[in-house]
Amino acid sequence: MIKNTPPMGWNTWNTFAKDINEALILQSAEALVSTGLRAAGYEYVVIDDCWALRERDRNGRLVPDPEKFPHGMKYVADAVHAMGLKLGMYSCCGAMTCAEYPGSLNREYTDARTFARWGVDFLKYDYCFKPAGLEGKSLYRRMGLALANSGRDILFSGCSWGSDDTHLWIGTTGANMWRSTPDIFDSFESVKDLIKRQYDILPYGGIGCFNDMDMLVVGMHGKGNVGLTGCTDDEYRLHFAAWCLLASPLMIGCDVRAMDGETKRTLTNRELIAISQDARGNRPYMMKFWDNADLPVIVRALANGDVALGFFNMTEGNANFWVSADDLGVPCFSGKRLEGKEVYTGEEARFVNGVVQSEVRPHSCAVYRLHVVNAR
Amino acid sequence: MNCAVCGKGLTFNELGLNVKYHPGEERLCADCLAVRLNVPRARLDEKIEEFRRAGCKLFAGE
Repeated sequence: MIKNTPPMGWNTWNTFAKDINEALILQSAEALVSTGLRAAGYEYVVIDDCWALRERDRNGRLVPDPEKFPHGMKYVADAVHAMGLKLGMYSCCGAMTCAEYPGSLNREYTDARTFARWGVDFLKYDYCFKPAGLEGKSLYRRMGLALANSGRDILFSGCSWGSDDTHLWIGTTGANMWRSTPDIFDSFESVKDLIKRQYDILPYGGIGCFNDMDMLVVGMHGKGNVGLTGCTDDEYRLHFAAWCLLASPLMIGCDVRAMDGETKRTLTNRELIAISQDARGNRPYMMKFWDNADLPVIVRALANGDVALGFFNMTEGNANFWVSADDLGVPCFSGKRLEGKEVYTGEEARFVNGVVQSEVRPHSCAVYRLHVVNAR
Repeated sequence: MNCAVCGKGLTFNELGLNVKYHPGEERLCADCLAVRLNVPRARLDEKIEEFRRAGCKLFAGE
């Protein structure tokens, strides 16, 4: 599996945790199609922890809980595939998963073949109950190789929360994405924390193995397993924009069967998804405005020669951002200038004397897709 | 183990809250964690009960 753009899809954990079953998965898959999310690019339907029986069968194989998945997992995979979607599942490198179901420790090849036989396209691989005497990198290399030899193309989603210097070794494991952060929860403080953790690790992500900032909480409004205070619509827009500019995978975590209009508008924003899925896969870079980590400026060069520029105000008051076109790669006297629109409002970027300025409300952002044009 | 802000001794469930919401070396009591996260204290108590009922072993009955 070679993945050149951040994967997009939906995952059960943020809202449903253990309360999952076949009906939920298939209804959610249908909702991805009917709401236009699939058309927007969200293709993976990922069943997180709590799908299996508490013990393996007598052949040592994982068994889907028949009360939750009465038709088995191949049935679910076939149904999801018939909708033009892909199926994701979950396991863990330790003896047990985080919710204490069987982990894949020492069963990597057996489990990879099982997933392949079922028609699974994506494996989220957690890090709980890892024996202290075994290195995570070895365990992840085992599963990476097992998946590559399973007989099916399965995306490998590492979920070691950035532990044990994951950034230094994850690229050696065959993983296509790697959790670079602790778990997200549905509050602005969490979103802010995860964005700030990216300052030092952006160089370790990109095409082939994307920095995963955890699943989206857009639209959760405080409900569900990782629900806490919830966020405002501005905060959810900031959250989504940051994940897109920082080239994180986009895994929806809310109940897609019951999204409100604002949630759907945010999650299907075409400009931001285009930035996220840009073919060139250039790494973004971050600058701290006035050396303030709560005022990140994120920039990403795009395949067609455009530049994505985001001002993120994570402070409690208004902020007047500015960036010189020179900082974005368009110096004075180059004969070029930048122009473009804000991705949420459509407002034109305001360049004066080669400097773009934007006043941004607290807990809000302004993101522009800028084109290089001839100077007047 | 004691709260890094107020020095109060931490309960098992407060340690669980830190694992969930404040991973890292610094450990906070529920009151200080609520302030840090900008969350009502009662909401953290609700989450403890939610997780405990769901079978999460990070939290015990009190």
